[in-house]
Amino acid sequence: MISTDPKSNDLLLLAHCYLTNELSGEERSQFESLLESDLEAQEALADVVLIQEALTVSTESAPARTAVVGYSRSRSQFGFTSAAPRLNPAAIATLACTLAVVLMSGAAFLRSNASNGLRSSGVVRSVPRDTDAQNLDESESLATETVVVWTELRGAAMDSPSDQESAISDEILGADEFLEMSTERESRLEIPDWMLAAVSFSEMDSDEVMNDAMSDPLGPDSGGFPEDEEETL
Amino acid sequence: MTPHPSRHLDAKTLDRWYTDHASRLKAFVFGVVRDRSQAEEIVQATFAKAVTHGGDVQPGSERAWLFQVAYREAKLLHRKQQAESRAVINRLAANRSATNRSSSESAEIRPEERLLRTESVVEVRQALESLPEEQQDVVRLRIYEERTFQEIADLLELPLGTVLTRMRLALKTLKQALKSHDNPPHP
Repeated sequence: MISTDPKSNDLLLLAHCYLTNELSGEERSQFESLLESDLEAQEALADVVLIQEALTVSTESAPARTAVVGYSRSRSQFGFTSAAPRLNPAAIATLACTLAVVLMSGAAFLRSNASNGLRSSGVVRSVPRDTDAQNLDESESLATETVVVWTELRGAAMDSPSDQESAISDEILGADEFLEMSTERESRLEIPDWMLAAVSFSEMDSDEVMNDAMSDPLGPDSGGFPEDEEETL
Repeated sequence: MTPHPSRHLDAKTLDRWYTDHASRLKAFVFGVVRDRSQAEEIVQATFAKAVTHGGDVQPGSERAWLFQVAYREAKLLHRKQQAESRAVINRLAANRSATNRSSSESAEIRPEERLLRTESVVEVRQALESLPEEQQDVVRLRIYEERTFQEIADLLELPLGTVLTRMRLALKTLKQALKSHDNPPHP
């Protein structure tokens, strides 16, 4: 395909084809005989090796790299270094609401289980004691997970610039303006009251279950709690 | 009449030769043997010969001398390996596999193994960005997607000669970028 005549073909192209094994056997032999004594051919091979390395080292493709560099530059202006995904406050609020609903549903489910046990068996308490402990663990776990997830979401949000901040990231922004914007964003991300209420509700429910479990004076085989405590459940 | 004994190269000149030529010499040898450790070994052997025989080299022709010695060393190693039935250098590999190997090796190069300084890498990449779009397309398809020239010609619906010309022009420009950081000036 490629002639090995340096007059008709550039040595660089020839060397490139040699490097990528795209010369035929005869072409290869001719080029190698050139390599033995021709400094230009030797230089050309060195050049294409270095060019190939420059274009391929430590990166999969130049376009992708360019995009990453551009993104990093706009983030670094504000000192953001985290690789966490960008989440806006609306998305965080939606996620938090979902978590709260799940949490409250879980609590209601626990209550329902306890009540159903009382009603269906006709005894005060039909749920075994170890199940109480399990429900208690699940409830605590839910609350803990909620706080953990919230903390993570908040952390991600603090690391990520808001849309507004991103939009102006390429412009010059005064320190006061940025401080004000950051404070505003931080205040938006404080744990809302309804979130605390949801967690408290869950904890309260768990406390009741624990109290119930601890206040059973007759043990697991006693047949249940006194009648008056049924109402509190 | 007894022949003149080979004159050794003094340390200062050896250091200058190494500074001036080692990087490109290593690249050249790598182009021949396609193996970094072997290329390193051959370059060392070449400079070892320079210590013992370099004094005979005419001033100004050391570059050609080094490249020739290195090439012979590479051929010698190759023949030695063939005799020992070691299939380290696989020159008969299919085009695609060789290209893939070259790319993957390049991607895994440790910084200390690189043939190029970071400045040169940046320079060449900037030169790529500054190429005309049609040349960039050919280089990207060739280097990053590892397509053959015929495949590129089919893909871009161009004559093969046009694709080759674009690649040739692109290589020339990239070479100039490489040269701008090559051969640092001496005090």
